[in-house]
Amino acid sequence: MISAAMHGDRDALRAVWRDHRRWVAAILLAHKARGTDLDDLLQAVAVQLCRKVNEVREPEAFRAWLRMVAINTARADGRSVTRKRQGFLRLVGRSNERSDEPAPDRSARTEEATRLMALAMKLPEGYREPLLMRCVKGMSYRQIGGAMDLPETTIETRIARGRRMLRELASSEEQDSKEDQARAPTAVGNA
Amino acid sequence: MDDMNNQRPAGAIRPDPNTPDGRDVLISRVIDAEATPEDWSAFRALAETDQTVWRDLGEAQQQNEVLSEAFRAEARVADLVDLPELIADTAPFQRRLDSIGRWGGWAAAAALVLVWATGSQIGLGSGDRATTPMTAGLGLPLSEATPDEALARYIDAGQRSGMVVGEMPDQLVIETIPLDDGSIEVVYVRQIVERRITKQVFRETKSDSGASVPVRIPAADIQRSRSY
Repeated sequence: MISAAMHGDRDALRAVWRDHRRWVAAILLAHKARGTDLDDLLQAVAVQLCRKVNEVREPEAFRAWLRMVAINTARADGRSVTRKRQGFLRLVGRSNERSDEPAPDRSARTEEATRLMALAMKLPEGYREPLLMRCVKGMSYRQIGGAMDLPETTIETRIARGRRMLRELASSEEQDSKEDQARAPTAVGNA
Repeated sequence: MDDMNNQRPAGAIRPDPNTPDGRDVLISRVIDAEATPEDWSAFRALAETDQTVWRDLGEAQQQNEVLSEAFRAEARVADLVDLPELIADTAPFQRRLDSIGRWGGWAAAAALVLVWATGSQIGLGSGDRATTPMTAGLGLPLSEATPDEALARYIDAGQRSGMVVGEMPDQLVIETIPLDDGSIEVVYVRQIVERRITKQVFRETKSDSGASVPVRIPAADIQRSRSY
């Protein structure tokens, strides 16, 4: 399928994209700047796939190539985010930007998911990326290794370490929160 | 245990539960349902001397579920992104986009490129009438009208042709400048809402060099949307 796509078969290319776009999303999430829309980045990667798939040396190198396209896209966009923000003229009260803050009516489970995702973004790049890719349903250590051009065993170790780091980050954040609450002044009754 | 840089499959490595990495790998294999009977034996043996390993397993398991859920929610958009229909020659569009500058979002990009896609403005006619616009109804050259008269006639003609939807009631004030004579100069934006019909809509995206590239959006992928 990948070979056919590399040789100009549009239907094969569409099928390849459908097979790979979820883990591409994982790469983009791991590398994108805050405030960048994931769908814009995916669209940009899709464009590059159409234009440059014929430059891939061999089908075995496809995953690693696509990963680099995704990383370059996320980084290039990240550099321009600040410039874009400075250049926007906003209509007061009509901003439709998405807020990074959780909406007050979100369920506790969703808030926990948002919190964990934010913590995962604090992991070092080499751990964050395989950890998010592992969240793609059915993606094996071997497939992640193929994309990152690393041995399967290295991927397994990085995912295991990444999970431990995530536990430590969550625990540390929880501890900080408890200390903040303990330091907060208590209410004083009427004099 | 450092990164195990060899080509053996992950399951073939027996982690040492007495090292931090080995402990982590055991927990990770249980979470991923990759633990072998030997891994389980090592895990139980470890748990006999280290009670915290069950707590860590429970926490890691729960975090994995929640993180996977968060990822699925974020990445759901991937299923909606299909390959674009690239136009054959993007160079002329590229130059136009570059000359206008940068912006973000569907609406702006679509609106900008719409004009080029249709090629001419609806309702303003063509040929002599287009090069020598006449004031609607009065037969006077437009150049003789005041700006307010000209704008009112444009809106009137546009509404008749269907191109102009109307004018936004709110004007966006950019700057106010007190003048020496006590009056105030106000710089503001009047917002005219127009409508066009087109067969082609493009969306701006970026190449890996950061250049803007217009990508044709298949009509089937366009959904009804509103910006305001």
